[in-house]
Amino acid sequence: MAESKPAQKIWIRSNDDKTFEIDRDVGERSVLIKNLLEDVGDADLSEENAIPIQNVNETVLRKVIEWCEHHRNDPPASQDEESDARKKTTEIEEWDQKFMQVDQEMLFEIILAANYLDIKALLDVGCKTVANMIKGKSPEEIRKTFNITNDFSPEEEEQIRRENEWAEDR
Amino acid sequence: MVRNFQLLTKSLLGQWFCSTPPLPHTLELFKEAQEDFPPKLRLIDLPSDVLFSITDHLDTPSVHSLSLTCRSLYASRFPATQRPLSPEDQQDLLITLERDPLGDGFFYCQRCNKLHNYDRTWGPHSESEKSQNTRGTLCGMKDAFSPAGNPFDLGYHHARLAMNNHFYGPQFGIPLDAICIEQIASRGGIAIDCSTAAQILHDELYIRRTYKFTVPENGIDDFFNTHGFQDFHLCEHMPFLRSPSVYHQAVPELQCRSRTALADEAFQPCKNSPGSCGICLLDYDITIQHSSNDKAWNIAIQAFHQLGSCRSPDDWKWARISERSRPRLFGPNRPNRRGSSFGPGVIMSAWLSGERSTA
Repeated sequence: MAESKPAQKIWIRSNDDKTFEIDRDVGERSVLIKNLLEDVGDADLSEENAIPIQNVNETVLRKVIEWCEHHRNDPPASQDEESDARKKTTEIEEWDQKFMQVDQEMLFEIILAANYLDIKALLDVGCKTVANMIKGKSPEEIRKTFNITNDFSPEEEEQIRRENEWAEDR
Repeated sequence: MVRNFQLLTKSLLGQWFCSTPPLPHTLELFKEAQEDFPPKLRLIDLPSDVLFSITDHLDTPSVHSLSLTCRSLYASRFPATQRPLSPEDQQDLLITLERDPLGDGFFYCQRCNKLHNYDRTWGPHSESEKSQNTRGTLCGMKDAFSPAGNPFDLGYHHARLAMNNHFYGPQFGIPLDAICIEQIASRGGIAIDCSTAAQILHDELYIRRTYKFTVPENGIDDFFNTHGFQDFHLCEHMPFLRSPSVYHQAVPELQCRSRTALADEAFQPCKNSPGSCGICLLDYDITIQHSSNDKAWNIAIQAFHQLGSCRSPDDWKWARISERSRPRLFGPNRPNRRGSSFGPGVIMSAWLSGERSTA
């Protein structure tokens, strides 16, 4: 039996200067990192020359790495999965649901990091989590959930009702 | 610290408005304060492409709800809000808006698939409602519990508004008391006194109608002439006297006349004799007493109706009770009590246990 090759390591650095050593296949869950690695020779990979992840701090990057490690063996997203069918479902697997049980600020940070690092599956999970928090709620309930201030004037609200022809008074 | 930060911000803004550059040490303080309290990332701070990705996972009514939370999200013009709503999506959205401050003063009408405005003073036989003559009133009149000959009707919109008050809070709908009114009518020499009480049990509306008929001894013929099967009904399926229709029942206690010869035996006296409708959710009890002082028969009927949660006029619990206003809807194969688990007497017993628990 052939001896399994040890996983190749790469180093990434958060915007607050924390360096993480991760397996290359874990890092390659991010299309941004994958493309960078393709442009950089293996010889240039070192702890001192860690890839800077400028928009993500240590706490968030740690969470993102945790997600990538859990999903390191997931098959790459096929073209079909990019279709509307993928988008319209809000089912989230159990591990991801637990992973996303964080405060709202962290949730949005993870989404932004996934967007920046181009990790589509993580971005999807984050967006689905937010969508589930919105689904079926009235505007006021959404405001309360996400601490949004209603800045419509009564005249604007009246105009919205009129423009959309939702109300039929007389 | 927060207060200091606010004061600092205020003073800085004041200085900016005066176009005077802030003092360097003030700027340092401001920077420190910002570091101590970095602004929290909120949903509305997310970039448009991420917000659009979130809306990709939402149904159309939810995207509309999101866009109606504030100006910036309304201005985002999410694709789902730019397309005409399907009737089903419009229904879902308007039912959501009915419980929102944006829909304050409006209720959802299934018949029109629109919001209609209403007033807190509305109720059955409300003068202000009649005088306003709005779409809501007109639609309500078309869908009402109004069995033949029973002049004490209840519009679906009143039942819905009373339940909105229960489901969404006191600022919505109309209070339950608004549908509990006393009314009087007369037929020839026969006086009919009707009062309504209402309860909400397990999120369903129950009403108890108490009808008191005072029939003078010399008005017995009138009673039987004016309460034929085409006249007064407890519900659309329950006239007082027998009818040729197989879908109509009759109140057995009122069928005794042919067996009696004397005027004072025109009715068989009884006390709280129970009965129920086989089609809609009605239980009743009837008491017949002769008063020699008044030289009259007193007939008292308590009719207990279970109207359901009144979320849709097509819910069978409402639809069966408002049968007359929808003549093409009724048929023996429509969902009705016979195919349900509501046996005789369960509505009355639920009402009484509800009364006991609130006592």
